[in-house]
Amino acid sequence: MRHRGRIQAQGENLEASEAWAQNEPLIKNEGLVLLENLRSKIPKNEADIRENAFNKATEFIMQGPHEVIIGSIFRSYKVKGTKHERGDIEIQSGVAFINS
Amino acid sequence: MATHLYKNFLTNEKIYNQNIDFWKSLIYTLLSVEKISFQQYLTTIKPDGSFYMDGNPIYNFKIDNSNRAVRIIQELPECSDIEFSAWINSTELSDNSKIDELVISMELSHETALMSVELINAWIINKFSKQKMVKFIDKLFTIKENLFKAENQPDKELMLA
Repeated sequence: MRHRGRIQAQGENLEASEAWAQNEPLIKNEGLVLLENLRSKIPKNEADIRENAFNKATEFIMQGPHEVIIGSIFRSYKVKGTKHERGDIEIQSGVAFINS
Repeated sequence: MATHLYKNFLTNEKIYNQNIDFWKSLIYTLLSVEKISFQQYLTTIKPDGSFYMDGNPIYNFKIDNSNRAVRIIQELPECSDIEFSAWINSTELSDNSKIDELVISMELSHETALMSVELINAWIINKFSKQKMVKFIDKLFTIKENLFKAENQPDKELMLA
């Protein structure tokens, strides 16, 4: 598949992700749905501490489209004051978060 | 108490570029002595040629003919504490190759720059295994917490006086 990537919530006791792999670029709304799916499938306390990280991820999605040029596009939004609780967006190839 | 460097890097393009040069120079100094060649593996510019200018990452490199990489994320300083974290992430790149990247996320100060060098040295030059690296990161994090927590606590003797 030409367009692929994943959105993750990671940390000390958490490993959850939502991935995409398709022939057409992912549109912004689909990206937001993946993010929402991720938020709803992790425990509430894990989602709560990542509120700021999810907000930044939403902002990044809305700033799209993002196109892989030299190499992949990775973003990690860490929860400050924690060891490594975070939310990640990885656009591994292609284009993501285009307008519909 | 941290002395932050390039504090306005997100709002001033000149400072942003100087900040990238700071990391370039640091990494080059660290790796060139070992004759280790490397290159960027992530897109940090937009299709129109301008920088993303979000510090996420501020610098990245992958060692040639290796699956090891380093991604450095620099955040806007928000307080005087030492803000520093790291982890190992296994993922895939656009050419379907698999990589293990050391991800460092911090507010840049003299202290966090030195901690970054320690981790990059262990991951790239000493080639610690993933498991050993995770333990080393834990150890460094604990040392950081204890050292700077103690520094920020009021002197007990002074309080008793």
